[in-house]
Amino acid sequence: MPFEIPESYRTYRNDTAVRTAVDHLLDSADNNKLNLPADIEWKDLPGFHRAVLAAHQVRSDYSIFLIDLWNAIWPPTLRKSGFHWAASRPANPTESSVELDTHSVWKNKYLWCYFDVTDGQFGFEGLESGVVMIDDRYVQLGIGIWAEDGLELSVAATKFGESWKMPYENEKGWYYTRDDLGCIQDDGTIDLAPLHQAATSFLAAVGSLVQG
Amino acid sequence: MKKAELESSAIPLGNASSTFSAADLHLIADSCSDPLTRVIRNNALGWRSPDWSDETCQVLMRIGDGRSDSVAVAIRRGTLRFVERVDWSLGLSAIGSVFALHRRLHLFRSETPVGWVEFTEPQLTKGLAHFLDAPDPTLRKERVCALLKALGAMKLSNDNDINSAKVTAEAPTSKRKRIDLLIEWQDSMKERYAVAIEAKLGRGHDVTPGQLPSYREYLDKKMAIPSERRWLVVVSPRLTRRTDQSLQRNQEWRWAGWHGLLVAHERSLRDEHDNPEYAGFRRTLWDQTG
Repeated sequence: MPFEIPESYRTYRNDTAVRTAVDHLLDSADNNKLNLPADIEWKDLPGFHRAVLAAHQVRSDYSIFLIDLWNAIWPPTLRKSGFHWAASRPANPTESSVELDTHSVWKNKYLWCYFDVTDGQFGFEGLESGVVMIDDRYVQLGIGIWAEDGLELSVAATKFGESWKMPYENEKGWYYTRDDLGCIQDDGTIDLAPLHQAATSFLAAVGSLVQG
Repeated sequence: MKKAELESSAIPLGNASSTFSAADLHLIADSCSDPLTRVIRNNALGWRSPDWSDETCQVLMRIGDGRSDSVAVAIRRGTLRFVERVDWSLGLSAIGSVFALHRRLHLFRSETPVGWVEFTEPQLTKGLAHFLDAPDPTLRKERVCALLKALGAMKLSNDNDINSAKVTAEAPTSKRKRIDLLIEWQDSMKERYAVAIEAKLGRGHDVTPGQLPSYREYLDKKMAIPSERRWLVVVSPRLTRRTDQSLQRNQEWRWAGWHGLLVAHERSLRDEHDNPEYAGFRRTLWDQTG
């Protein structure tokens, strides 16, 4: 199933001049120093404001894109795998340090969702799933998972499948998909099938761990 | 799927209770099993994030017949609304117009050749003078015209007069004072004109006391250029309080921001009067005056 990155972000990604213009407008607007071009005339003024709106559109479209991508992968895969965790409210990510406002998603280039698993019925202390865009070239799925005492995650980790990279020593509990899995094609689409498969194999391994 | 669940999945937008995003419908479809949701789930509608095509809506309307949940009802009543994205082509066109992105040699398409160097004010003004004062008279005239248009100074004179333009960086005045950039020319009646630019680069670079009246006096007395034939501008990254106070006391001086001026210059300059080296220089100026 091809998944498209938004047209606005595709232009931003592919055209250096548009990228510089959008970065300038956003940076100036964020820092309250948005100046009009020195030679602008009254007739050009609506166009200027439309350009500012378009710059903000790129940023908002990007955030919505990551949300759409997260929605397309994680909820259906979780349901299919028998997990019915409730996601924390975006405005109150509690344990998570991830900010989900437009500015933060744009700056961070990732989106994480923290799940409320505090009832302990699944044997985890915490669980986050996310989508990350790297260098505008590919997207990664990410999952942060912390097992309660008595559950040995490293056993399950061997069954996550080849799509997942093993965590670095200082990032225990954080797993990311391989770089080549979610490549953004030249036409701005991403093939979600390998990502779906990766999420499914991960959750199947976690499920087998929970069930013992 | 229960109606309550379905409605809680929808994105409410204003009073349009029948508004759903494509992603919402996709989510809803994941937990339903009827024909409509099957085609949504199987992507058989040609679903493309982020919106739905008109053709897709027509298919949905046909499929919606015979169903009773709120999506189907909304389809039948014609009240189903999809979250529309802002038309990007309009926005892109506006960005292109404001910044003149049609230009092949635009500074935004260039890279700073020596981004690791932090240039001083005299170095940058000398660089600007170097590119404005091109050996080719046509290039010189067109580049100077483009800068004067950007500054609003073309109202002093007409294009033909600029053939005689002379550009000097660090033009000495008196008492070891120098005008950062001085552009002079004559009209057919041998009347002299001048644009004086006091260039400031970054934080802490403000107009010093006495600078502005001294330069104005130099143009007035030594060069004998009256106020209607001169244009005096302070160019800096932003208008600081101190510079603003100086301008209040020296009403003939105007202010322009570097970025606003550089964008205006891009809008006035044509590719045939530009070159990659000059574009790279302007990019350096852009990066160092942010």
